[in-house]
Amino acid sequence: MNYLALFKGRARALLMDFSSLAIIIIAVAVSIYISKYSGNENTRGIIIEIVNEDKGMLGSRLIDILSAEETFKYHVTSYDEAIREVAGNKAQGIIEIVPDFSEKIGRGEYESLVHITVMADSYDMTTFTEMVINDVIKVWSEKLVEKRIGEIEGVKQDDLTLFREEIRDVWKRESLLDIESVMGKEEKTEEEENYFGIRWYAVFAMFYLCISGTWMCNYSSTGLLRRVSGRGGNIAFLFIFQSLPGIIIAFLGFIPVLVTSGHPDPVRVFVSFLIYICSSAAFALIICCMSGKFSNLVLISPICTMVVSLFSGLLCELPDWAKLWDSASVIIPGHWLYDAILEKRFFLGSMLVFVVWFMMGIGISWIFSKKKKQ
Amino acid sequence: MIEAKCLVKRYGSYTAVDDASLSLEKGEVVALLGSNGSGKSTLLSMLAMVLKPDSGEVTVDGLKGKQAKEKVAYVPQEIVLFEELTVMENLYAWSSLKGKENTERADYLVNELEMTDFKRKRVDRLSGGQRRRVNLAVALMGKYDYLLLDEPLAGIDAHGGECIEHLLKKEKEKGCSMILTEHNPTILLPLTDRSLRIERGHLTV
Amino acid sequence: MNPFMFILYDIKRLFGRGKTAFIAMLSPIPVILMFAMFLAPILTQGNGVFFSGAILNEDDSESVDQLMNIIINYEVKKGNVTVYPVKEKETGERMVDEGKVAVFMHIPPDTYTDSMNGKRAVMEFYYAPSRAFDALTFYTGIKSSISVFGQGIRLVNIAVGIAEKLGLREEEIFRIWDEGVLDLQNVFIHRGRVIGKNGIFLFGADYHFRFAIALLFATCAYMSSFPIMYLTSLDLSEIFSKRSIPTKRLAVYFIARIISGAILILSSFLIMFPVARLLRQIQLDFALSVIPGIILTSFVFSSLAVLLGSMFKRGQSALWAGLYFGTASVASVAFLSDKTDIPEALACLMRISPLRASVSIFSNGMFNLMIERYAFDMFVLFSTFVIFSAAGFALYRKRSAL
Repeated sequence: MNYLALFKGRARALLMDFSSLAIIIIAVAVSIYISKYSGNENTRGIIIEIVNEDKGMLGSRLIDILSAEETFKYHVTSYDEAIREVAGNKAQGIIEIVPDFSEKIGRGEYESLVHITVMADSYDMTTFTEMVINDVIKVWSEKLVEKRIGEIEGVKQDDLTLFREEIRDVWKRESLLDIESVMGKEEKTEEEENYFGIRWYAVFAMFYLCISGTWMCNYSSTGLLRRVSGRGGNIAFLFIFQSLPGIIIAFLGFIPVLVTSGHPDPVRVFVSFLIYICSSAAFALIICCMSGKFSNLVLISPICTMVVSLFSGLLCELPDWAKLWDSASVIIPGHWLYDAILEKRFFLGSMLVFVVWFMMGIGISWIFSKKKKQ
Repeated sequence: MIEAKCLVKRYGSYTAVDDASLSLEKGEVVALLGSNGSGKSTLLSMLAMVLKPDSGEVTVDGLKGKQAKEKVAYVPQEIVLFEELTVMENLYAWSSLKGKENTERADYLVNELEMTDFKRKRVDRLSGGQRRRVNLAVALMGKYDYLLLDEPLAGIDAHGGECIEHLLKKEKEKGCSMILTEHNPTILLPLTDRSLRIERGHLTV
Repeated sequence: MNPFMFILYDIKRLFGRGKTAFIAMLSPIPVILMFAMFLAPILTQGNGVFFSGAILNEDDSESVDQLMNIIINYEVKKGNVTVYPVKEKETGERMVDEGKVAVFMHIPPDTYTDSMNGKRAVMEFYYAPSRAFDALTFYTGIKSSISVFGQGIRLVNIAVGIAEKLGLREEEIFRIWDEGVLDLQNVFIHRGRVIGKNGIFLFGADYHFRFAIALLFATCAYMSSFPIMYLTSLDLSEIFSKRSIPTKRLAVYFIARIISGAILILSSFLIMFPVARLLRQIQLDFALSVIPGIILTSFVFSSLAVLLGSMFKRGQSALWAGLYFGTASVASVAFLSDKTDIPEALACLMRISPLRASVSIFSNGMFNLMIERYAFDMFVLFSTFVIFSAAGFALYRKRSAL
């Protein structure tokens, strides 16, 4: 069999298949973006409406304190307008300061000083409620301490005025009582670079090999295997030569991602990715044989890619309590790439995993071809 | 009468049908003969108004558009069926008839085309010849004055061919006009009144 | 033929095309299981003790002791924590390292006097990496509230400064200090009541969970529509373009497709929804409010799938378009739907996005129903359904042999 002709034909087909090629282009762009710009949490774009119905002065004080928070953008408005803005997805929360806010605080009552409406369809609203409570606490604390000062014998109005002046910036200053977290000795004790750019590219690359592998669906059909054997060909060689173009394309996309990631040991990651992508091709063969056709592949491949990438820790860190999954994931190619990224030993494990997946892929395609009716 | 004037169809630089004009009188059966790739199917599709010509027009009893289409039943060369449904379900789904008339017509066609044995089978589990019979039956599930058939006997065995020939004869006796394309003119020749030949898009008598 | 029969036939066609429709319907299961795996600690919240802690209080002041009691007693009462007092810092750290406890809190000596003197006092929160998820969630809540408490101490310091300036006796000054700190503790213990809730901290800590699960539901529902896209494209290019069908009949096929598609998507919701109720004990009335949203979402995604299927001659092309469109929609909802510092055109697109509306209905409707937002989102869904259906039918007609 003319394996070189197969390689050229497959390469041409893949390069002309712009639909799947776009995945690699997007993967490169996203991975480089993650490497360069990740870590900037931006909640500043989220608007919160404030409705101040307070008859006293403390409502305005609360608004001053809230406005000093940089987390969200605040907008003081009427209740109806606030509801309209949130309903129309122009704002994500409402803080309604009750009419007797100042009065209640003056009497030392704390029950329902503000009403909060929060839209949960935002990943960044987690800190909102705590922040509002803290800021109300600040106003409340100020009032309580001011009251205590007022009870001091001989205190004058000037003293209270001085107190109000001095507390203006107290909330910007450091807390006198704080708590700091220290992680236990078993694991790393400082924040390390996660190289999400490389990891996510690896996930995308696996997905690319699966979704562009409709040609691999034929490996589960009797016709192809018979024809190949009839011509004295070898199915394993056939698969290798046909999958090479996809592997090369994924590999070429990896180069700019690796360069921009700034990894201290790029050679290690380079070699590890090479083995990973070959294992991914074998994994893709299994997925395509199971799918049988593109309409199934488009459903199965994103889910399977996501599952194996989650287990291997490529997509995001495994929860610390999930040590069992971490151990079980040694059979997944992504686990060894992850180890290589963290500069741990990987070579033997990844080679073994590659051989196993390759043999499994060829074996499963043979089984499927036997089971399928002509 | 179906009348086609100066029909032209091009696919890029290739002209499939070039300036074809013909007419089909009421009650007439015309055979459209030609080799592979001569333009038979393209011409027939335009006559059936499922393919828009680049130029020229088709009228049916002086009518155009939707009203003209309602008078024509077309049997395409490709098997155009709902593969996941059974034979009977396909007949009911494609039929423009309603109620009892629908059921009676379906039963009639199943009997005539000897599909009783497999009428409850899914179409994707039938043989090629069986599917072609269903393909024909589906087109006949309705009211029409003109019947256009594109290679109705392709892939059919001798007995199946006889059933189809018998059915078409009955349709002719009812006054239905037909144009049918065929490679082999001998099979349906007894049915035809005249024949036309098309070669490389050019129509000749 | 009875129009209802067309719907039945179309359902049969959709589910009869091999295993594609079943894969679409069941595909949410592995996704939800994976999701649940990552959030198992939250799933077990409220079901009993989920972590233990050690504490060493080396400060001998009553105020700090009271503050710690407030925090610990609250968590112990909730059943989230069991606490073991230890006598040495090394003991506590060792217990964490050996996995006997998840967290160890150490309050250094002179914490109270340092803060009285305007010097920053820092408590340590030592935790086991294997229990980082629970520990850090607890830590985040306690840090923000204690931080404000600590800032409040500055107020008390200012009051004490005024008292000193006025020449009050030392006992009086100490009384003012103690009462001031007591006030702060009183405020601290009633934090939740400020917004009418019970509890001291961790309000809203699960909002990202709500959002994530809602986005997951909507994404899985969208993926369930892929068989509809594929079949529609095939129907138009291989069947309806080759058989002449009257407009009325074409409309019947079209409506049957949308309904059968909606039933397929609804089936995947029926699998996901009970799982969600198990994952999080959602109140039944909230759960019921989501059902109209689920039904309308199914119709919207079905009509969108028919539209995409009608646009492409090849089924494969329709699926690619669906995949990219879905990815772009999910990504933009995940990262942009709540932001306002984006171009106005994009912000407007996000407001009218049916995927965003679905996610909003699920995340807010299931947990935190706001009628006006619910109504707006339902209106968005209904409008997009009408638009997609109209556009889809126009293409349907154009591509069929009419």
